[in-house]
Amino acid sequence: MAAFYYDNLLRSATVLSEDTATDFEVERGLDGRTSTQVGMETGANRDLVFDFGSAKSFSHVCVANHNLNGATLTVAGSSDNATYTTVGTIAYDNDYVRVDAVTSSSYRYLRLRFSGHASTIYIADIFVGQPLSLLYGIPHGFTPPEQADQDEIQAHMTGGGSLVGISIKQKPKRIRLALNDYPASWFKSNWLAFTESMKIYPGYFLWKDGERAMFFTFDRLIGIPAFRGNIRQSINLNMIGFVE
Amino acid sequence: MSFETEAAKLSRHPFWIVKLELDASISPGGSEYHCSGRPPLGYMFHPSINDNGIDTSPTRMGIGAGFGRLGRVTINFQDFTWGENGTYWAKLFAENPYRLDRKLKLYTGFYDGKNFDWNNFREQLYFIKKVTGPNSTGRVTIQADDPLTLINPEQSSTPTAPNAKLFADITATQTGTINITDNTDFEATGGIVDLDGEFARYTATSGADSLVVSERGVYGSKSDEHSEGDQVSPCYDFDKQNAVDVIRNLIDKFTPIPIATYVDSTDWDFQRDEYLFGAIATGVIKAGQSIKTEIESLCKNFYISVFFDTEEQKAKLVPIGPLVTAARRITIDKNIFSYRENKTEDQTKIVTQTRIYYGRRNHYSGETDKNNYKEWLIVDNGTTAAQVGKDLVREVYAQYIPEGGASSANNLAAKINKQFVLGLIKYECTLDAIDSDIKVGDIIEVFSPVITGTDGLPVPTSFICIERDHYDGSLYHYKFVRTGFALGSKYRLIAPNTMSGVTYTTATDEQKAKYLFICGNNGEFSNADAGHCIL
Repeated sequence: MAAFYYDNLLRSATVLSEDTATDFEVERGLDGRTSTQVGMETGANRDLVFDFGSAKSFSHVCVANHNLNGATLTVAGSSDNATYTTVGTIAYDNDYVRVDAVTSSSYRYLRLRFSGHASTIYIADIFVGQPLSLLYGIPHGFTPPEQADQDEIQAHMTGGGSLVGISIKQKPKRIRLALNDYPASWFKSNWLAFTESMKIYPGYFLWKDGERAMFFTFDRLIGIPAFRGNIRQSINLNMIGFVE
Repeated sequence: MSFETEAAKLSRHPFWIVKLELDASISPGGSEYHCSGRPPLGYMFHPSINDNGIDTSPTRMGIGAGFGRLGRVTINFQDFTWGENGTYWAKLFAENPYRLDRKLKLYTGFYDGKNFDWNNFREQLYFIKKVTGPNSTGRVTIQADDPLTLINPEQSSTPTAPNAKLFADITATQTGTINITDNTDFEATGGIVDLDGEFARYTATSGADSLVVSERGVYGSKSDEHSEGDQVSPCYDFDKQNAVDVIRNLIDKFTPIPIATYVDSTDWDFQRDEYLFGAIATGVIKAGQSIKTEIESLCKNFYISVFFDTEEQKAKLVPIGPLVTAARRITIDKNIFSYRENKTEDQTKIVTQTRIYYGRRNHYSGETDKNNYKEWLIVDNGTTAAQVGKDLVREVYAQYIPEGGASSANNLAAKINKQFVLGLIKYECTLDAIDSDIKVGDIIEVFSPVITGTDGLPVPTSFICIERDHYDGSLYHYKFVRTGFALGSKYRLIAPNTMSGVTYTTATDEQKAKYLFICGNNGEFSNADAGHCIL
């Protein structure tokens, strides 16, 4: 089911321990920037341990801009920071953005254990939390993010007609998502927190299970829900971000 | 991997990185890097360079005119939040209240978003001159110039001695120990002193307030009486030294440019020994003079250009004139893009006659007074005057070519005449990164429909590259000026007598390219090869 992932529990958690490299501490994987990354050197297990302060529910782990290909993440929760229960194991590939489900759980302590990496791993953004699920399926007219290729291509031709080279300027993906006829109650429950968070940090969007996820923010205007009969509301979301 | 390897690929992803070397850093790791696109993993590059946010105004070589135009880069950045409060650029500038002349390094190259390698980038060094912003939309603009900006007059001049004045009256012929109020700024080993309008030679300083003067009225200046309190200043002189060495010494002695780092001395020595062996200069530079101005005068006297190669990170010295080696040919079929190709002619620059005034009598004054020069060389430029319909005379006051410097004067006149026989002809075109090995100062041969003969067919024409602008990722825009010399022109020494037994007919091709041989009275060698004119 299509969903947004924006409420990152890790940002408000206390970091109890981290096996990170110098200048690549865990906070750099939580600031929303692609220029700063959490980094962990090779080794059997590299752990990031968080304390939420009280039990929090989570069901998904997302990462963006990483080189985790070949590495494995073992997600475990604990109530006492002594005994951990594994709630999910994720094997990574080259996808720039990943949204992976783990067993929906509620724990105070969380351990993210990375293993199997042959070189130093870097992750620009890590998310742990729950989805904000859309109520209905994706409407007609929607372009999946991976197909919204905006890259700028310039062909260099000589006066004699020979193709000498091609320059490619990589651009972020731009997509437009319409939420049509949503109950006003859905907006009242979710919209304020969602938009307030998106003003500070980027989020993740998965339009269909098994499809490519997008690490995104809004492109200028968030948009204003339009009333329909004082019951249903609709909104268009202009999103910009990275996929591949 | 390398820049050249990536440039040669058909499909390329241009990428820019900027490093700011300010006094204080705020980014983790202690370096301020910014990039044009998605930052690579493992590197803390802030992706803050705006789309099309890099505008380079490249070095432009002045043809025989010194420094030409400095290279300049203007970069637009986007500000972004940094920490709980404030923005990155506002905080960075607050941490660094002084930014003038701090280093900015621009790296241009290729990054496909997956495999980042510094070897795929070329580094260009600049010095920050101007910072604008951040403004209300978060826009920050930094303007920086190439390292030869350090030679600008406000930063580089010959030293003055404001506290040095004559302690007592002196006669017009007085030598020996002469007391002044302070000799701190004078060379302990001697030199030239400016005695309020007269050059005198001193051999040493003495104590804290004396000069040992050995000769009065040197370099053609008038020996005269001077009074107590008259200003006394140190000067820098060079007597029959090679111009290349003089220019290098001036940079080394009076500018903040570190010679070992930014001057390619090996190449300068090669240029001196190979092409400028006869460029012998004599002159005196007074106190407080702009080093840039003096070097430009030397360059004009010997038809030399000095510029900074921002990619090689070295100051280059190039004598303008013919080369003995074959030049790279660029053609409309394989290299030249159809857009932005242009040829311009400025016939107001035609030279029908060149007059060189050299052998300066009084080096203290009269720089542009013909009568202050002992020797004049006047050279007509073929039949051009009749063709143009009037005389267009170029006068050069060669203040640093000494008396007896006929060969240098002839050389200068020949080069000016040859280059400007049809006026100033410029050519510009755009080339792909794969052809970016053409550098400023290189001679190239253009084969393009914009330069044709009477039959309408392209005529190969030699130009010297004066500007190279890496302006859009994989594209380079070049500007050239016609040299007037045919490729393969001879411009060499008469061979020394070290080739015993070797004649033109027995010489190797390499020897023929390097040495001159005396042909017969009919202008031909014994095998009927045509002789060459000596410039």
